[in-house]
Amino acid sequence: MDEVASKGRKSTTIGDLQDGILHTILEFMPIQDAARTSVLSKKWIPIWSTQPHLVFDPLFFQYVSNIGASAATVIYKILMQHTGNIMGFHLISSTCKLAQSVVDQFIIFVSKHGIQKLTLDMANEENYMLPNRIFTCATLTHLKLSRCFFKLPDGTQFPILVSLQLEHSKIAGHLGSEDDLNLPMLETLELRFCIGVDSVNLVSPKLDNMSIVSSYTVTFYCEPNLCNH
Amino acid sequence: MSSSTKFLTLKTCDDKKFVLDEAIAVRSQTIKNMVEDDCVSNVIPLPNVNSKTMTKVIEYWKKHSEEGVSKDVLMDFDKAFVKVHHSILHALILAANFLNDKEILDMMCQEVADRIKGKTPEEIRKEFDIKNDFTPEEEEEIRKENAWAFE
Repeated sequence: MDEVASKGRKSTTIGDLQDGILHTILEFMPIQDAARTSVLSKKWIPIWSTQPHLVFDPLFFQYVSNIGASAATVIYKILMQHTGNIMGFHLISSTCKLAQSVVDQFIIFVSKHGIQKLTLDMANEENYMLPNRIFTCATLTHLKLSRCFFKLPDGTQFPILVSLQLEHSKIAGHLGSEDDLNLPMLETLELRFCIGVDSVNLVSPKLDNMSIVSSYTVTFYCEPNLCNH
Repeated sequence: MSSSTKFLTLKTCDDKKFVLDEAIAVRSQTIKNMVEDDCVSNVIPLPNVNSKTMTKVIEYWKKHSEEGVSKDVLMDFDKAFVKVHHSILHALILAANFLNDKEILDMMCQEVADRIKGKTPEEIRKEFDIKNDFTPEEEEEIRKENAWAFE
């Protein structure tokens, strides 16, 4: 009936969309649903195995707990089967804990696979200590940490870090000392209820979005403008 | 509204023409770039979009450009907008991608994701006309590799 529509009906299956769009679709669903798509057809196997954004949210941790599996084992399996770059890696749960050594392995793995956006927001009671490797990760653009021990080692460089968000974390090193920390691309800085930070010395000329929520006064120095907060 | 409203003519792949207020058409980043780079002569060709799909896109653009429309009304509009056969979702995704309209693209991708969520592979294949090209052995192997997701 509609001539044009029928002429253009060569490929109207979702699976024929380009990989980037299929990755977006997978990103918009819980990761266990995304993993299941690998069994739809041959075309879908590499879509899942190259999914660049891996979000392990509370729903995921709830799911693995319901099936009696270990979250660490499942995440490890997913990483081992992954065949592309991992640009986003997010661990978010207010109930599940992951051991320091487990998270270390994950972070070291993703830092070798092109990580750009990293979120660590787990229910661990002790502050999680980041591996040094992350502080020289040249691909990182967004870093969001909760309940971490953010100790900047010498040689820290985040050449393209755009956003840094720290919550309920302990800060040491540059951010808590007199030395300047050079974050040339930083646009967003959020510090919420962090301890160990009474003075921040940042060289971040692009900074335009800053919020510090704290129970005590923080002196904030930012080049080239000096601002007190 | 504005005394100097500019109009653009868009031509779809099936040679249908759409005359549209420039302020609305620039919701497409692709068209916006063309306008800004002064690449717009008389007619903007949209070789990847057919008229049926473009009609839907323009319907969306107009609704979302109307003044004084409440959030609830827009939400109802969006809900109805995505309730279409998957072949139309597919066409809208391709069009939104070509037109570089992230709002429509994300909304359509979310709709596809929602239709996949919570379904078995068989149900998903049926919903989207996906042909299972695995042998039973191959399928079993893939399931085993991702066994955690099939519990």
